[in-house]
Amino acid sequence: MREHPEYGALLDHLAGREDPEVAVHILGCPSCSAMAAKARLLIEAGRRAMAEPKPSRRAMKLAMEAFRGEPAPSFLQLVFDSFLKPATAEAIRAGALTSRFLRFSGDVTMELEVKEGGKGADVRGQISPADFAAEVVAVCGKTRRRAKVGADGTFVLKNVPRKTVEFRIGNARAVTDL
Amino acid sequence: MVGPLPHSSDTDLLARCRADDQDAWKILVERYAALVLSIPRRYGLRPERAEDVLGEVCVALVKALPSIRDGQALPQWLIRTATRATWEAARKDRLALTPDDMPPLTGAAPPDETVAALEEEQRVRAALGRIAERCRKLLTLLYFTAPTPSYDDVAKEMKMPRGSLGPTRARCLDKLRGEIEGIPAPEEPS
Repeated sequence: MREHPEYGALLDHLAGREDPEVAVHILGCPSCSAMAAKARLLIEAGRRAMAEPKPSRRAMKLAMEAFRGEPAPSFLQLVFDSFLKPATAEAIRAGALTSRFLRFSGDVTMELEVKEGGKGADVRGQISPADFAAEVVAVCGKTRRRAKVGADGTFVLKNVPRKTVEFRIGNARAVTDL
Repeated sequence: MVGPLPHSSDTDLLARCRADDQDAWKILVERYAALVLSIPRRYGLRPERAEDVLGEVCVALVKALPSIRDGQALPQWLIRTATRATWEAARKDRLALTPDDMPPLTGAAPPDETVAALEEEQRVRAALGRIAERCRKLLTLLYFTAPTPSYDDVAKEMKMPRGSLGPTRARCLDKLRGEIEGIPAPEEPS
């Protein structure tokens, strides 16, 4: 191929519809070689961009709330917003609640919101995947607290000692300080 | 201000945001949410955590509005802030995120070449969003789909004769290149 390939043909070649003539031409043509380098970047960028999921409704909500000056809620806040008591919501805003993120084996994770309770900590959490286990057990020495896991993976544990606690879901274990 | 709000420049939108224009903010978010989200996603943060990063970057941008007046500086600012927020999220969650195609997260600013590559990606993303749906579909099938479909498959999917693909492809590529070049190039790193 003596003439420069069309830009579309060049992209075709680089995208996977390989053309031996275009390949040979690129090797011997500095300007086409430079154009091919840019075209490769275009293909990579385009493939990434087109493979991206669209921003979720929650993502857009967080972004809009930032402008309105509302506190950006954590994932757990949104999950629990529907049943948080006003006093608890106020505690979140005031920073009286703390959060934890635990990773178990595989892709199993647990998010926790820890609040000072009457006899220890009140812990609200959510496991992912939601159907990984039907029960959560918090173990601290001889003390055990159990809670059923809802269909959406959420659970509530009351009066958990504010010490080092092992969380058990199914056969998975993870340890954190409350 | 020039043109309808969705076509306003970043500099115009930033000015409107400083004047408390929520519509302008929404357009900025729609324009750049994918860029910001792409950074924590590429580092492997879970979707909810990536969304948290977007929220944090937006909070930071609102605070920084008085100081970011040049729209050309906005993509770089967003990339650096999102990288920092991703690092903080990973540190908080005790995650070691080391994807092959991104530099290690260290809390320092990302290398200039990474910023430039992400800016280029944003230009392509924005340009693809601006061209007509039919052109976007054709170019996506031809070049942005893996594995690459055959020409016959592309023609079938596009419901057009195989012989029309070449001329249509050329027109669509011209439009895409025009849109990419129409978006201001990034400033040289200082």
